[in-house]
Amino acid sequence: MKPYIGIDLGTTNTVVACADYIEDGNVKIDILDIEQISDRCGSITVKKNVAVLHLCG
Amino acid sequence: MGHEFIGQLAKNMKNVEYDRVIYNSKNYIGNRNHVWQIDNKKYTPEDVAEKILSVAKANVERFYGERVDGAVITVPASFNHDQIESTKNAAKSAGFLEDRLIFISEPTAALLDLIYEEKLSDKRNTIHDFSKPKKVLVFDLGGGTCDVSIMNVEINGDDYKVEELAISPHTQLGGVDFDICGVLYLLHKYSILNDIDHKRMPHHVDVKRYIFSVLSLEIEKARIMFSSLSSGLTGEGYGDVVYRNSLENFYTGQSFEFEISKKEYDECIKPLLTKGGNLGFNIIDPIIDTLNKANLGKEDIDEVFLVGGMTAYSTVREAIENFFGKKTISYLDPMYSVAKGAALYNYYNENKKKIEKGKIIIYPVVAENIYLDVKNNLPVLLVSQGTKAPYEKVHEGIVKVDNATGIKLDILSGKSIYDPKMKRLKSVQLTFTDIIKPGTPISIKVTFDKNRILHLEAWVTGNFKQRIDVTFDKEVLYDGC
Ligand SMILES: Nc1ncnc2c1ncn2[C@@H]1O[C@H](COP(=O)(O)OP(=O)(O)O)[C@@H](O)[C@H]1O
Ligand SMILES: [Mg+2]
Repeated sequence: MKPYIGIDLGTTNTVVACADYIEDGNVKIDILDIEQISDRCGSITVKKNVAVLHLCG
Repeated sequence: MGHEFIGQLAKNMKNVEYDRVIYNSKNYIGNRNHVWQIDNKKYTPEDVAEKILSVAKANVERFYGERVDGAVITVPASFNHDQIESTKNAAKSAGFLEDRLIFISEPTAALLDLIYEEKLSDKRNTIHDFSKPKKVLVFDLGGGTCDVSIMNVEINGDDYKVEELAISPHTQLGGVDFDICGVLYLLHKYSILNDIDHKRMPHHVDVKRYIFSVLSLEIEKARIMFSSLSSGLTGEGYGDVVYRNSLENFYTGQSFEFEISKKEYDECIKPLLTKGGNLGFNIIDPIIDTLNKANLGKEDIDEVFLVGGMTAYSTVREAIENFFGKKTISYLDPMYSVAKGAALYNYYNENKKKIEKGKIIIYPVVAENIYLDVKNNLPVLLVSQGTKAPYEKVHEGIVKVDNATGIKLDILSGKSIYDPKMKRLKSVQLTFTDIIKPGTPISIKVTFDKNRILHLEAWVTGNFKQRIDVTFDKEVLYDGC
C-alpha cells in the first residue's frame, strides 16, 4: 500500500499521519506510531509522535 | 564525535545535558545566521528540521515497507517566504523529492481534519453544519507558539473549500510559558520550606538551568495529569486534583518533596489567560489582533476550533469559551488534527484524477507584504499581504537601470513601508550581457507558487532576451533564450 503522509513539523512535537482509502469513498487516517531505533549510544526514541532533537556526546 | 538523538528521550535528557540539547529550533528556521555549536559541529535550524524529517521518513518507510518520497508538510500560516523555503530545503535534504512536496498552513490542515471528521460523523449525527459558508477561528496553542487564524469554510456536496481570511502575528507563547509559571511557584514553595531566598538560590548558571529544567518537566507532568483526571470536573464547586512528587538531590544535596494542586496551578497561569495579565503577553491578545485584522467582531465567528496540545487543558479551553461566550470545538487529541488534515490533503491531491466526486480546494494567502526597494524613493509594493497563492503578476517597467551593466534589486518584506522591522529578503545584482543604457526600464514578474514560495524574473522591458531568473538560492542568467 502506498502511504499518503502528512507531517506536522511542530515547535516541540512532530506528528506523522498516514491516509489510506477504505471504502465508500472514505479515507482512513492513522497517527503513525514511530518506534524506537536502537543506537550504540543508547536509543533514539521517536516516541509515538514526539521528535525533539537531542545531540549526545 | 557523538551520536545524535531525536525524541522524547532526548527531551527528558535536557535535565542532564541541557547545553547539548537543541529545542524549539523551528522558531529560528529561515534565519540564515542562526547556528548552534555542539563540540565542533555546527547545526543550523534547517539541519535540525532535516534530521527530524529524516527520522519521520525512515520510520514511515519501515512501517509500510515502501519508499516514500512525497509528503504534505505543514507550516504556520504566518511563515514567510524564507521560513517556508528553508523548511522545503530541509525536506529535500531529508530525501523527499521537490516536486512531490506540498506545504500547507497548519490551520488549513486542522480545518480539513475537522470537516472530514464532521463528514464521517454526518452519518451518525451532525454536530456542526458546514453546508453554508462559515467563519471558523482556529486557535492553536502548542509547546512554544500561539497561532490564531480566521478561515472561511464551505462544503458543497463533496467539495471542501478552505480560505484563509486573517492570521495572527507569530506569537511565541506556548506550553513552555505555562511551565515557567508553575516552576516559579514551586521555587517559591521550596524557599519558604527551607527558609531561603529563592531568587538568590541557584548561584551558578548551570544549577539554575538544571533546576528550571527538572521543575519544568514536573509541571508538564502535573498539567497532563490534571487534564486526564479533571476532564468534565471543572469550575466552581468541584473537587481539586493534586500532583505530588519527590525530587532527590534537588539542591545542595537536599531533596524536595512537593505538591501542587490544579487550583494552585490555575492561579499561576491566570495572567497568561487574561487580557491585561501582568506578564505582558497572553492568549487573548492574538485573538483580538486577528479579529481586528479580519474586521470582525467575536460575535461574527461561527465556530472556534481548538488545536495544539495545550488546548487539551480544560482551563485553557474555558478561558477561550469565556471570551467568545460559547462552546468551542475540540477533540480528545487536539495534537493530531494538523497532521491528519495534511495526510488527507495528500491523499486527495495524489488521487485527484481517480476520485470521482469530492475535491479539496484551499486558498493559502501570502503572510507579509513584499516590496522592491527603489533608489532614492520609497519601496514599491510588489505583493500585498493576504494575496491568494498561487499568484502571478508582471510589473512593466517598474525600475530603471542605473548603470551600463545592470541594476541592483533589493527585495524587502514587512508590514508596511514604514515598518521598522522591514527585512531584506534578497539583494541581487542583475548583470545583463549586452550593454544597457542607464534609464532603460526593467520589468519584473512576481510569482508566489502554491506553497507560498516567492519567485522573481526580471528583464529589460520590451526585450525578453535580456531576462534573469531571480530564484532565491541561485541566480540564473538567461543569455538570449
Ligand atoms: N493532555 C495534555 N494536557 C495539557 N497539556 C498538554 C497535554 N498534551 C500536551 N500538552 C502540552 O502541549 C504542548 C505541546 O503541544 P503541541 O501541539 O504538540 O506543540 P507544537 O505543535 O508547538 O510542537 C506541550 O507544552 C505539552 O505540555
Ligand atoms: Mg503545532
